This record gives sequence, structure tokens and C-alpha cells, in this order.
Amino acid sequence: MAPHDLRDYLFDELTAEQRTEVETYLETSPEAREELDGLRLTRKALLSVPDEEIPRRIAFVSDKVFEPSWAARVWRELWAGAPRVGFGMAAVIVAFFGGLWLAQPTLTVDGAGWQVAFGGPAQAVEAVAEPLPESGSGGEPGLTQEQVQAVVAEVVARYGAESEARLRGDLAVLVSKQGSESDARLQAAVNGLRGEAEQAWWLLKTKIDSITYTTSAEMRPAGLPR
Amino acid sequence: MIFREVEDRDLILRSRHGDVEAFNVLVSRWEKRVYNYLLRQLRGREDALDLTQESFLKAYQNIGRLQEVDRFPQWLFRIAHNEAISLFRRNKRLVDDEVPEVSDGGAVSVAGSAVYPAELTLAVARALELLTPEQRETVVLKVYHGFKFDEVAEIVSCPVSTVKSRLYSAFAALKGTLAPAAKPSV
Repeated sequence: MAPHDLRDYLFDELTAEQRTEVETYLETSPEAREELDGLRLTRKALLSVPDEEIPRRIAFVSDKVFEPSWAARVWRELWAGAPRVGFGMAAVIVAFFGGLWLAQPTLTVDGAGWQVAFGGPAQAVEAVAEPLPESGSGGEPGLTQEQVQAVVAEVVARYGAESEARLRGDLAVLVSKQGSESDARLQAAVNGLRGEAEQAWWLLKTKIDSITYTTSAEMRPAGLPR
Repeated sequence: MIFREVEDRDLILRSRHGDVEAFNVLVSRWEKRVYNYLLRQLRGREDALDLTQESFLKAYQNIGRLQEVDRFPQWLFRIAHNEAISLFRRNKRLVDDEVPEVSDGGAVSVAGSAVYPAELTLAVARALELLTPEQRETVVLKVYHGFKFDEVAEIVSCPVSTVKSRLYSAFAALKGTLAPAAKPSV
């Protein structure tokens, strides 16, 4: 009996050692040789039918039928170019941080916003100009809430005291003249005092706005328009 | 041969990076083999040609998924195999469903007598038709394309033992018909 299958021998599926064993066996077995001859003839008959030439060329990928979708092309390009994109991004990042290092920027963050100065504080340039606050709006930039409250209290105290003193004085004058003047004139005087009080309040408000604007504008570098 | 393999490998790698021309060269190298593999299974030139084209289209679209470049032949033939199976299922015209023409006592019945090359070709065609599609595919892959058993198993997606069984039974049938025909006349 053959040590290995003769078909495996025919199809070269045996190791070199196994092939040697089969060949040794074939020398001593005419039946095995005949069997192997039959297999060889069968294979020879099969191989006598040659491959056909292809009737027409296969459409290559450059043809329309092979053209991939735009999404596939974009993805492939991105994937194929990933190393280049990576190097490019790395170069941009290095250039960015190198430039920053050379410029020696200073970043300042406070209630007025944030500022970036390049090369030193003398050449400080405001990066983002905050819009000036509307008159009367709360939280003025440049001062803390406590500072603003203190300034307002001081202004109110000063102008309030002046206004009150002036009103009291005018009232004393009126009282001294009361006996000789009519009610109509008294009413006119009261109206005048009321107008004066309103004017005093307007003045007070203007002062507060002026102080707020000044303190905000002081944050600007010299030379910039107010 | 080594040069050819190296070149194929290089072409595959370039194709994976979107080099269309590299894939075109691969197509020109492999189209005849894929076409004949399909032709011997389908027996219709138009079907074989269509499926060959479809196989290369899928190969191009999926070449990025090819894990081992050295296994490109098995991978490509597996795509073609799947295309053939799909066509069988679509058309419901499995080859073994068709009753082969009864021999008129000519080419197939050649046992014991020598035949001319043209007759031998016809005898081979008829003998192959008598096999089941699985046996025929195994014979085609093993004899005509020289794949190893494990490679055939990979292409047709079945165990090596099944591949061997199919080939052995197919050869037993073919030997009875073809070996005498192939024997040189005295």
C-alpha cells in the first residue's frame, strides 16, 4: 500500500520527505505506477484544453464604470495624504509657537476684557476693544463694583449736599417773603425749586457718566481715539 | 517568477493608495485567468466576461481591505467565486440543475480509443460537465490555476478535507473517461 495518497503526490501536496517515500514505493509497485500514470493522463487531458483569450478588455478603473463615488475619492485622498497633512499641521503649529516665542507676548485679563501685548507693556495694544457701556448701565468696565459704588456715593453725597443746602437757602428766603407774596408767586417759586432740583439731579447724573467714561477710557493706550 | 510576484505586490500596494494605473496593470495580468476560471464554471462567455468585470470592480473597491498582499490571488478568485455563486442564485440556473446532453457515443465515450486534439477538447468539456459544480470548481482551481488545497479551501470557503474529497471524487470520474482518451495511440 502506498505510504501516501498518489493524488497528493501528483498535485505536489507532499513534503520532500513524503515524496521520497512515495517514489521508493513506486519503484517496487507496478500497480501504483499504473495508477499514477492514469492520474497523470487525466491531468494531461484536462490541460490539453487551453485558456481562452478574453473576448474584449475588461473596463479599467479609469473608465467611467469603475469610477468610485466622490465620497470614496475624498476619503481615499484624505487617507492617502494623511502623513502629508500631519506634517503640514505640525509645521504650522511649530511656526505659530515659534512666532509667539519670538514676539514675547503678554496676556492680561481683567474686568475690561483681555489684552495681548507684544514685545513689552510700552507698546501694549488692546486686542479686543470692548464697546463702551451705555450711560446708566451697571457693571462699568475698569472699576470694581465696590469702586463704582464708592464713587457714586461720593458724588451723590457731594452734589446732594450742595443741592440740599441750596434748596434750604432758597426755602428760607421764601419763608421770609411769605407774608408779602401771594400764593401764586409761592407756587411759582416751588415750581422753580422743583426745576432746580431736577437740574441738580441731571448734573449729578452727568457727573457720574463722566466719571465712568473717564475711568473706562483710562484703560486705553495713549494715542487711540476715545 | 519571483520578479513577477514582487511586481504584483508593488502594484497592489500602489493600488491601495489609489494608483489607478497600477491597478490597471494588475487587471491586465489577471483578467485572462479570472475570465477562464469563470468561463469553465458558467460555460457562457458573456456571463463570464460580465462577472470578470464585476470581480475587478469589487477588487478595486475593496483592495484596501486586503490584509495580506501575498494572498492577492486567493482573494481575487474568492471575489470571482462569490460573483459566480451570486449569479447562480440570481438566475437559479445552477449548472447541476441542467441535464447534460446525452452523449451520442462520440467524444465522451472515448474510453479505449485515441482521439484527436479537437476531440479531446470536446471530451474534456463534456467530462467536466458531468461533474457537480463544486467538483468542477475544485478541479479548475487545482489543475488549471495550481492553487494548493488550503488556498482552494480559502477561495471556496470550506475545509481542506472537503476540497480533497471533491477533487478525489472528481478525478476518479474524470480518469475513467479521459485517461484512455489522452493515451497516445499505438
